[in-house]
Amino acid sequence: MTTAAPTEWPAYPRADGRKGIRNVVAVAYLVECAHHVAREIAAPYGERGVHVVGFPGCYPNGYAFRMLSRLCTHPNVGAVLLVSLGCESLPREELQTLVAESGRPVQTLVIQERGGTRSTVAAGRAWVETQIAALADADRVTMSIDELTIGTICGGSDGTSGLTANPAVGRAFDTLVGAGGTCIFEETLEMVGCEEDLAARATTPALAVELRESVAKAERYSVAMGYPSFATGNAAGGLTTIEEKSLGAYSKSGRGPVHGLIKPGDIPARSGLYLLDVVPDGDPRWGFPNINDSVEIAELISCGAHAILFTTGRGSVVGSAIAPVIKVCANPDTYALLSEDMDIDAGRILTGRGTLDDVAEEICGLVAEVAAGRLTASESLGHREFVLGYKSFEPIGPACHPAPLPMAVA
Amino acid sequence: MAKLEESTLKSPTAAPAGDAPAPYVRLGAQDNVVVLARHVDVGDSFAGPAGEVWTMSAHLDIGNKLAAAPIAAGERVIKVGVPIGTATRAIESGEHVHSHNLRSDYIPIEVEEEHGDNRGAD
Repeated sequence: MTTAAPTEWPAYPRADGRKGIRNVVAVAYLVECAHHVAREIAAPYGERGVHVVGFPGCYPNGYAFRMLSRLCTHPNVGAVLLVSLGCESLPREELQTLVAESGRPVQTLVIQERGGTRSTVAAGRAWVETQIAALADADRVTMSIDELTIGTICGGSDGTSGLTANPAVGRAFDTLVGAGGTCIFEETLEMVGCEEDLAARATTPALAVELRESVAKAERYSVAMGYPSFATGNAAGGLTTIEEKSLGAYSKSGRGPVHGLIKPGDIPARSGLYLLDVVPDGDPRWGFPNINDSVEIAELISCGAHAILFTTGRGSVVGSAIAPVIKVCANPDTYALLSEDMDIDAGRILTGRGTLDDVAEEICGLVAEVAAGRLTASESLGHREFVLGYKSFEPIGPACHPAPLPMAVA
Repeated sequence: MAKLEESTLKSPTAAPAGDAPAPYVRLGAQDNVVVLARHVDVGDSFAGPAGEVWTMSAHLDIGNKLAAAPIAAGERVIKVGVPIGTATRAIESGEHVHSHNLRSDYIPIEVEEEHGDNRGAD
């Protein structure tokens, strides 16, 4: 630790009252057939905050539409370019209207109406360059910790994840929520065995029932898929059972009260600690709910997360479009191998070079620095992974959230 | 890397034997396993939490578990005070605890091979 972390920093004000810690131009493809054009439009501006998101499916999906709506109106996004092939079923006019109503510049390019790939790429780049120039002069306002939303995920877990990085993030969450911030944890698939402890932390008895049920749903879904959230690499790292891995994953949530249960695209109406349920409702029909970590990172961001604390034991290198990803490395051996991709060396707890509280303090300090503009390792390396697939959800019930959710999107 | 001063260098034999910290951590007072905080090699010898000497028969990486005390077949394995599964056979003090002798009480992990489970996992 060198200088004290900032408690306030300049941020980008948005019409909905939220504030952004980045000012990204999002280029969104509305079907895989438009992905290449979107990628080509963004390619020259990798260092200048132009990020590609999108949905590959041609057939309609309410979840995917809601995800794209939330991501295109995320506080870290300053302008949006929609890239449509022309015959896909995602309702592009509706999406354009939503983004326009959020006060952001938005443009839609339809490849089939623009003369093809080359013409659309040229038109897209011209629009993006205009936006980059405009965003450079954007107004800034003061932002502080109590206006931040931070998500957490673990990926490439091993036996050290639950010893160092995860409980350190949990303590950081306790600190951030205590300072008035909003924190979101997820991975109900990795909480099997922890459901009673989780339920006991609910702020209301009705919420406790919902939390318990969300874990039971995750377990039913895993069994139906024939495979729990447990990869061969986990076993090689010394983890034997799903409940053992759960214990480690669950410790990222800290020890504070749980204020609500949300689903992808739900934005917490007030500060606190929230569980994000990413397991689809209804009969399992879309395959694995988390084909990789990037899906869950996008879902955390759709709930308003400004930045993500990503704990890893084996050593994930991914980042994300739209929100910075902070890598908290659990394993000192992995840190030594992959230090260029890591932000925090939490594994030093195991080698006597710090305590859980030291690492938690370092995490909170880095969160503030990243909010103030410092680039994370994955950001500076150009990682902007993004994955979105098919899912379906029922809206959350009144017991899940003590206050109404703003900005309802169908 | 800090450069060591000549005067602070000691010959390996000068290091007092048995002074190295245990290579494991015990995470909960009720735990019947300890967790390796660094890797161990075949032949490594150190004291378990009850004071008996353990000698390693395999290389094990950081994060792996050793039985802190004898565990009977059918007994719950406890880590951080929470059950993480059931022993499928008797486990000796200091023995590696993993999928060959520990099974989930929730969902069987399909990377296990010992149980003839051929539901198709590779």
